[in-house]
Amino acid sequence: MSEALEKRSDPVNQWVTFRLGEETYGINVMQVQEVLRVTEIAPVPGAPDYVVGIINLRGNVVTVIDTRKRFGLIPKEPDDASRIVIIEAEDQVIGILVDSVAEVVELRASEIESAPNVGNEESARYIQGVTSHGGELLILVDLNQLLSDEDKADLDQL
Amino acid sequence: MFGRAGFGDRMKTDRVGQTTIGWQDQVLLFYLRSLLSQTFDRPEGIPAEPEKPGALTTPEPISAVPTALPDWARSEFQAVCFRIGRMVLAAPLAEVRRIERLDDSTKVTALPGKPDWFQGLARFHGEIIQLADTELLIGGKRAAPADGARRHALLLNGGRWGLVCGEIVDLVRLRESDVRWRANRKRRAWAAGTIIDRLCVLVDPRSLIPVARCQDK
Repeated sequence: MSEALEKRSDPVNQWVTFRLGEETYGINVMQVQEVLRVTEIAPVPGAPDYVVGIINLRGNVVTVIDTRKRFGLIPKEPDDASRIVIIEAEDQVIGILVDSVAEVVELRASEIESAPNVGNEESARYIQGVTSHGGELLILVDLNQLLSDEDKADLDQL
Repeated sequence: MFGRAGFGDRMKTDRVGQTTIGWQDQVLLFYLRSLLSQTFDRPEGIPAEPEKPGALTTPEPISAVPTALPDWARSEFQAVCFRIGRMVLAAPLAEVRRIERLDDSTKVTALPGKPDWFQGLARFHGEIIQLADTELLIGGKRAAPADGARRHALLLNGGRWGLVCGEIVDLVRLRESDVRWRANRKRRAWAAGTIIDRLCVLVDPRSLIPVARCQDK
């Protein structure tokens, strides 16, 4: 099979990996705009509990969500390793607060296995798949599914 | 219920009586076989779900309450006995393709938003296995493993599932008559029966993973 044909049938994508607790997650690099150190995040009264607050990103107000809360993990105070990953998901720019950002990895489509088919609908929606990388499992997140339409409407009103 | 030849009829002539009983046994055998062959047929109106290529497949969800002997119990079979807390349970070896030991070096990757009984994903020989907490699935509480207690995963056939359990006790060879089979499995569908001389519950692993139930929530 020629290289071009192989690329077409088994495309390679790049994923930015980050840590939350003991696990490593991956998000599509094409949706990552930048990675910031945690600076002052202004809380927003009445915001959903998974919203940490808002930041000023070169004149634009960006909502930052607590990815740990969103994933139902134990909350943790940000530290030196914490980062805000600015992402674009379906025309909405948001920041996701993560424990740390690790690296960019390349994965073939054929290396990705579908996520287990159990659990609540929400998680089934945003976990795109899993793959083995560097001796451990990488959980791939579909950022377009991270927030429901209702969540997006809530964030628009902040 | 099938009628049996009356005692008086049998007394009249042994030869006729024997012929009658032989015929009745054949009918009974035919009836039981037809019952067994119906057991795991998919009920009408419930379409089979297509399997995604490359997906972490799940065992075929139980769409109806099992009412008769599972396939693996139709002849002599082996069962692996394992410890769950203080209990000993058994699972048919025909449904277990491998047993893996879990130790400190076994990395279990937890996934967000999954039910308590879903312990996470682990890799064994390059294969990603979904680990289920057997104790929670049978209605118990998650207990911290005792110091030094060995943990294992029974890797099931027909899907990438592993049932997490404690020590492996032993292997037993069983005949159908060694088990008191449960006729009604509406509740605790996972309990296929009891191994009589051990008073140990024989688990039907395919009924234990409540994938269908979770998807309904």
